[in-house]
Amino acid sequence: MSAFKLRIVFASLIAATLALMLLDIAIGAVDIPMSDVWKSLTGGNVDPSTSLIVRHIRLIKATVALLCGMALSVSGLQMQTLFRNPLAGPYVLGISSGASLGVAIMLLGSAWLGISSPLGIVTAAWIGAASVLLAISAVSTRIKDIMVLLILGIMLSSAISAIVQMLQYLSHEDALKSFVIWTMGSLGEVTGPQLAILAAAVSAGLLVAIATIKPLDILLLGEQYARTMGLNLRRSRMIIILSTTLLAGTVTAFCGPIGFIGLAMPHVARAITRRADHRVLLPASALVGAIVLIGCDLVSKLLVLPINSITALVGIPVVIWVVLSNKSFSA
Amino acid sequence: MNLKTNTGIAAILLMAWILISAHGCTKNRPSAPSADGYTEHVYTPLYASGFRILGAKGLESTILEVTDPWQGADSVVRRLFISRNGEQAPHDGIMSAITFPARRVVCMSSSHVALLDASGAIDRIVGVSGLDYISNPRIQAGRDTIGDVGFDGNLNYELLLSLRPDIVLIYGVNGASPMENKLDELGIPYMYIGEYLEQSPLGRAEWMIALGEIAGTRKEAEKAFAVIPEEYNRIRDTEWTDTPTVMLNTPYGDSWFMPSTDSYTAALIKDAGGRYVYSGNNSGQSLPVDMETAAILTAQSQIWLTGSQATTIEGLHSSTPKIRFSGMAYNNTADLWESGVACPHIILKDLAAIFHPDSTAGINDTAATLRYYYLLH
Repeated sequence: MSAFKLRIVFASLIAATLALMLLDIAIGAVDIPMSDVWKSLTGGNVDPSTSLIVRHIRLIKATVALLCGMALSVSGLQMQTLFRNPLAGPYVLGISSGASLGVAIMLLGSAWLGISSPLGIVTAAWIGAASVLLAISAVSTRIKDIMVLLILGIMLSSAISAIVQMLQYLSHEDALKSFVIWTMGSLGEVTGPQLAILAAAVSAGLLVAIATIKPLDILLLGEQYARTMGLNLRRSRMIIILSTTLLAGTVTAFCGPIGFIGLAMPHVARAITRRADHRVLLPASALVGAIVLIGCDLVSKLLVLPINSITALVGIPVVIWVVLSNKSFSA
Repeated sequence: MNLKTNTGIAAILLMAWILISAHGCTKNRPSAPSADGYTEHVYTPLYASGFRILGAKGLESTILEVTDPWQGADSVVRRLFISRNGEQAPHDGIMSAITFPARRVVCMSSSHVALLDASGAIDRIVGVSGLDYISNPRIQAGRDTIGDVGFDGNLNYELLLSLRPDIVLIYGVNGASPMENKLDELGIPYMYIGEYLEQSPLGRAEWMIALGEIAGTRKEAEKAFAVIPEEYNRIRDTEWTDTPTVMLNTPYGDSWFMPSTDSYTAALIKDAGGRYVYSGNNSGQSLPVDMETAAILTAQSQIWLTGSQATTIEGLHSSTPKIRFSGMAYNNTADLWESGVACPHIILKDLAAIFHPDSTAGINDTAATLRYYYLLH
């Protein structure tokens, strides 16, 4: 694809992101005329409750969708390149399992452990994700082959799921319902101050991700080749893991595990740009992720369904398409 | 120490920082209790242990104080300031403040609906969580005007805000409600209603007085509640000639949950002159027993309160094919957990009629006029 065409692609992606953001802010459960929405955003004279809905509910939610879509898609891209596996995603290292364990212990386990958690769900999810990161970092310094890390990540996730299942089995139905709803994801629970933290963490993660563009490009050639090119493999690996943790870990802590965006959207970015270099793929993935998650938020608002069921229904066809069009998978 | 470990540590530190700041911003409410002037006991419950209503000398406003509003809470106190006469809320120790009385109430639990109804304030409800699962006829009749705000953890805040609630009644499951932060941000007053933690059936019903205080119908609520212990205790104190053994619940897959011996349901069984068959669980919460134990317990019982999806005896047998039971099986309506919360005397009357069908001592109802249970046949 020529540089000119690429510029058009990026311009359209940015325009689509902005248009969907505005649509997401304009549409909601309450009918608000466009003029009032605009006045609320620009600080004009409107009914305080209208302004509250537009600024504290819709604007925050749309911004959360934007940030989460970018974060998940970029960390998915990083994981796919790092593991040289088209079906890797942001949660392959066990971040979402770790977060879910934190939340499960808080929501389901407190009666068993005899403690009442003074922490909120966000904090519990963070502690869970950080513990998994710590375990993965400790291991990743000792291994040569990245595939070992993939296997360990999956094993760790399975072990954590087993513990979460035990907690679910033994818990009261109200607690169970709270937990199950958490696993369905929610973009709307984030408050203004929390959004500031989310934005800071995602920006930091994206900056670190930009720093990994060159190592990621080299990793495409294979680890052996990358090593002969003089790439410090273990160091690059650690930085990529750090970036993914900041991106996917923060999103999971605030919004619950949101599936399929991170797995599917990098493939859409590849298909649109027809490029393999991360200088193009990374921003394209970020934009595609944002567009699709904002779109999913719109659909989930209109149908009044949890965000995760929408992202799955959008993401699964993409994953099937990847598997079928990949020559090494199809017959 | 090498670079890799340094990066790992840096990541952990960064996460820790975010963690601390995230935690910090959830604590924007002063927590030191200093609603000190409010020492007058406006209402102290006789049976409930989770709430009391306090007043101050020379002031008309009250504080509804709720202690340990979720399971496992240790000395957690939440106070709602109910302002009368334009009086200002104390500076700290108060979670939310409303102006007396709350005219527009959103209920996050169906039991809140029942308690408000019992206190004569059903018309104050403008929103509920899970409208389809509420049995209350007044709520169902008003479906078109009552908003369904969705579920705890994934709430439609926009709709909630558009209902212009004076207060949202919430609950905590093993910890503070995830709604707290967002409600704070939107400036919507809220209060924990912890009635489900009361193991005493009368204590649970007494919460109607707390809800009456919020809605401005406390006097009616006190009057409505007063007859409940009378009726309840009259049935409880009846001398029965027999004590049937009672089995509870049906399994999910192959795990059969049995309530604790000090649970709400166990208390009702005991007070109705029955004997709860399982004495092996005094942990304070429901625990699964294995199918062999459950099979023996069921075989030993004369009465089985199934609490299941099955509405016929064939349905019950096909859902529990390995269980042999020769007694009478009763299922309950969903309303047992809704309006039943406010009517423990009626539940007790039902159970006494089920347990002692031949005795009419003090029981006017026959098995044919049960309100919350029905015979599977």
